[in-house]
Amino acid sequence: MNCHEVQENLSTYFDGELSEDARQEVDAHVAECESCCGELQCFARLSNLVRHIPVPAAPPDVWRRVDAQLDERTSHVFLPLRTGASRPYARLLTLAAGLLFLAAGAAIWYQVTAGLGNRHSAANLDEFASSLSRDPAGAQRRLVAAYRGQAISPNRAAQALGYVPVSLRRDPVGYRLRSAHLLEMPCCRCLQAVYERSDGQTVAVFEKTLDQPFAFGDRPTVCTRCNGQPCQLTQADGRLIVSCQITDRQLAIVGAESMNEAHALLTWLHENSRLDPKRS
Amino acid sequence: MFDSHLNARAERRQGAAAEAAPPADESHVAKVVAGCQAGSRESRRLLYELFHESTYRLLVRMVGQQDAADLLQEVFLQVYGKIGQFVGRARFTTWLHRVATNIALQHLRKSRRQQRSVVDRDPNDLPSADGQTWQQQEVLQAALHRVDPTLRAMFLLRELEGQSYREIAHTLGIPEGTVGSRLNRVRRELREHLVALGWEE
Repeated sequence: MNCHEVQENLSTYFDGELSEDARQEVDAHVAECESCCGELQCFARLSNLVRHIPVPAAPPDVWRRVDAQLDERTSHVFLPLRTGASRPYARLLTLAAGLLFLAAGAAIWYQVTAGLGNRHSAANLDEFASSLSRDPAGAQRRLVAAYRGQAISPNRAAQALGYVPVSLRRDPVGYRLRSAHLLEMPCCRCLQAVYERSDGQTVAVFEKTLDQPFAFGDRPTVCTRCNGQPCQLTQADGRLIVSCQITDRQLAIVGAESMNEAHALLTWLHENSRLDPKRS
Repeated sequence: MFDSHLNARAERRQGAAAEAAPPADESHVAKVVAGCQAGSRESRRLLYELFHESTYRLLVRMVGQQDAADLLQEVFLQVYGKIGQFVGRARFTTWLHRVATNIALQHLRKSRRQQRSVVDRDPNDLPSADGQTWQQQEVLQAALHRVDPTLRAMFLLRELEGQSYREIAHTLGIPEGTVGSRLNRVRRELREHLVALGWEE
């Protein structure tokens, strides 16, 4: 290897992630090359610095605060969790989830994931879900700005994402595709498709490939099954969010107005996943 | 001629195992996690005891000490809320630190405090009377806050948590093949910032 090749592989070598053959080549090079050896020693000093400078202990009251919030949630699972935000759908959600299961003929299990009331956790997606029903254009504009969104045609989306999005293979019956955007989220590049119903209302579908589901802040969520598949129902200020994993994709439908609409859109996504991955 | 690099690599491999991995053995962690999944309050406390120090250290380096305690609280609340989703395919610490990293990145994005960090200041302003360690801590923190948050997370996950390239790629949602080149970049940028801040190599 020459200096350029070694420099490109220096971290991989330093971190022990290089193959044995390549490692031996770098070993031989740095034994003779002052410049590359110096860079390697710098990496070692950096490592030493960050690992050995002590960090103060965490404040002792953090556990007490965590424990107190857990207690509060256990006793107020479906009550409003954030000040200033009403949750009219909370109790309805419980009932509606049961109806969904009956319709789907599936076994039910509940798990209430704790609402995460914290001033830091109101994410951009949370804000989008909150304002979608009353200000859809503003919600979309802020989301696109927050994640450096780029409008993209369905045909080009596959190339940009490296996979054919499930949410773009075919439009749901009764809706038309209004926009598709690539969003540069902290986790990864994600697709957002906005579909418009004939009455002008919109729903948004988010899609990514990681195994971590989309998070929508501290909203009460029910883990359930629909058509035999696990999914999560989350309330979003008068609308519903349905999150699920289909094959290797995480999907979230934001803005369904009823359980019927949520169920229909979820069924549409499952059907899309079985289609030929070309948009029709 | 330049043998010291070999020693550095050997020491590093040993050190990574000794320092980065949490002291708890995997079977004990699995029992505590299972207890949390069953809703045991005592298991939640044990989980916090096992992992709050390493999580806090990661958060301090990611966002600064000012906000780290609030985020530590948020991380553990989110972990307890989602622990039913942990199925043991990854190490628990990898899963936990993925939650912590995402919360830290989300916080930085929202507050944009990295633009006005209290420690990101001219080296001439750094107090000198509080000892060398304090100064190193300040200089390190300032340098870390001058690099891109995702690159910072990558560097810290590698150096503090001992995550493999595969785990880092999974945590940050990037291709595994790009981790090495990005680590090259962040290490070189950090060195430049540290030198500019008065670090003596």
